[in-house]
Amino acid sequence: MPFGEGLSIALRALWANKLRSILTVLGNIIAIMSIIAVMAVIEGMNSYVENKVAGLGANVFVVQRGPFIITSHEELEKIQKRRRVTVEDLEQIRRSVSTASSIGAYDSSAHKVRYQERYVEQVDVQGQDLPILLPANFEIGKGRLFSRAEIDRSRPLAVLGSEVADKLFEKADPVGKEVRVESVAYTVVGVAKEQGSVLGVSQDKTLLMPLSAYQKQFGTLGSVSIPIEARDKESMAATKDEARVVMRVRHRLKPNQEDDFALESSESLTDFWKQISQAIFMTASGLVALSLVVGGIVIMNIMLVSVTERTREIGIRKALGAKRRHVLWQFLIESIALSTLGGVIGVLLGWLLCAVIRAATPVPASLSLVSVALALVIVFLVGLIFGIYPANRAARLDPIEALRYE
Amino acid sequence: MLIRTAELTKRYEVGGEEIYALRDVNLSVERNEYMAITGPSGSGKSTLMNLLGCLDTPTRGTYYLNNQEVSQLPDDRLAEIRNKEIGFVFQTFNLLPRATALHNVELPLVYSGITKEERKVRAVQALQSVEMGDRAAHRPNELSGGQRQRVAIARALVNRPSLLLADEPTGNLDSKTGEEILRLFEKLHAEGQTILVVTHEKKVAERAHRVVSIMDGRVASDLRQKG
Repeated sequence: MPFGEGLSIALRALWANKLRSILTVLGNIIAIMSIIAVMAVIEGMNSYVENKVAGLGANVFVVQRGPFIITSHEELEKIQKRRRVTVEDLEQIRRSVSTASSIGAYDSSAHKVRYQERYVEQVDVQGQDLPILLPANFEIGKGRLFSRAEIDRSRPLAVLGSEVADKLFEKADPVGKEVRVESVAYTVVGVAKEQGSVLGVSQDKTLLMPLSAYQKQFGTLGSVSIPIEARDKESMAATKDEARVVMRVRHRLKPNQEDDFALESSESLTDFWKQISQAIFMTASGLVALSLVVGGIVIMNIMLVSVTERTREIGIRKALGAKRRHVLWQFLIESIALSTLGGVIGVLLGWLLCAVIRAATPVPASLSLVSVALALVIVFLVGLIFGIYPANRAARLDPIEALRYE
Repeated sequence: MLIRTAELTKRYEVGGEEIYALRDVNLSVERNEYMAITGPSGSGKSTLMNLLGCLDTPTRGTYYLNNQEVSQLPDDRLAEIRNKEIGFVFQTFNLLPRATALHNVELPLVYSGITKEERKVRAVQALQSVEMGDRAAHRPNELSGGQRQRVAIARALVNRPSLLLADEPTGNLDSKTGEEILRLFEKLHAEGQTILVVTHEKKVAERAHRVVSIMDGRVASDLRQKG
């Protein structure tokens, strides 16, 4: 029996029992929808982490008080007890770390920024010490950045993030105007290009000023972060070691004492994310596998009902010359078609769910072709495996008994 | 010789007791015979029909169909023989309810692996030969009993079988329609078709040229009438 014939029989049978078919594959629908959505969220988070990594730049690591990602309150308390990383540390690192190609520093905190009557709350005010600027994909859109000389002289200059510029100045040109951070006045010299938002956090609600000016206003009590760029990937480890030695000497650590500072690079972000996404994926796979097994058993059950209902049809087909494998394939194809139908509906709903997640949350969920293909392969196999028993039963029916069946 | 059986026996075991549904039946049927098998219910005529139709295998004895010993073949070989050699006509028509007349008639061809195009051509021809050419697209529930039986006959003939095996073909039809079906059988017989009708109705059996009556699992009489 050609495959097309089997498929058309199967589709007609499924169509004749529309509601039952849909209810039967509910398990598949939910399982596939979940797998599509989870994979989309992980995919979205991947792009977030990639963005973060890109923000750090290649071959860059950062010396700071604690790691990028702090996972417990205890850890946070411990880090807050550590010594601050200071501008003096920066000077020492600049003098001593010979293999670095460039070294910068920054500190930041949230403040209210005003221009005349208008103001923006919770602006990420960053004190920056050139030449390294983070995020690495930062670009000036209008005007200019402050210079080394201006940093050295603690000039009160500011570069606005595009969102801050838009809110304070609307369409007017901010360059040359004076804005106030809390109560201190700064002259705007430039506006950054728009960077968009990552996970719902705007990257454009920022104000950059020289680190020296920042510390003049907010004091030197904050701990700074020192980004250090190695010459290339190979020398990264050596440069890291140099920076570690400098910091350990400055903090007078004994050889058996742990570092009381962190050297963070993009790897620490990706490693952390890998752990998280693996955990999510494992949990989700477990649940999906469970619901697929349940879904498969339901399909098997309904296929057994279908075989019983169509006993007479099987008898007729056998009397007319259908061999065992013809009947076997007919019911296997039907079970696979049923399961795949559930998978296709699941993919469509998963795709819809992605759209909802994208619209309602900051997670950039994106449907990937790989997950769709994977989902369809899985439902195909579920249909095949759970179809074997009922199909085999149909194939073994005795034609005389089957023809007599009312 | 189309059919030759020797000591064809079917024995069942029911609750430890042996029951002979058929015992030592020796039967020969020539090509182009029109024969009836008759007998009361429980006589074994259905068992004989199942054996002759290759739907079942005998406990003992031999069955040559078209010079091929078929009594101990495995399921799939029997399916092949049913497909190629035998056309079934049932009392309850046994058409697939969801399929059109055309598709019903195509079924035996599907299982002999004939291409879609040829299937259609031959199914249409078969429908025309029973004067159902204009009902090809109808489903069984859109046809009368007589029309359904005609479609079933078209289906039985479409693969050009050696034997047309009809089980109470007029049992579910009124006498007028039944008469039409019997006349169709006569026409097919005149065209060279071998026909074997299993029936308990005397009037139907009398239309055949040879009547074999079965009683208690044995051949009770074998009468030739007319030509």
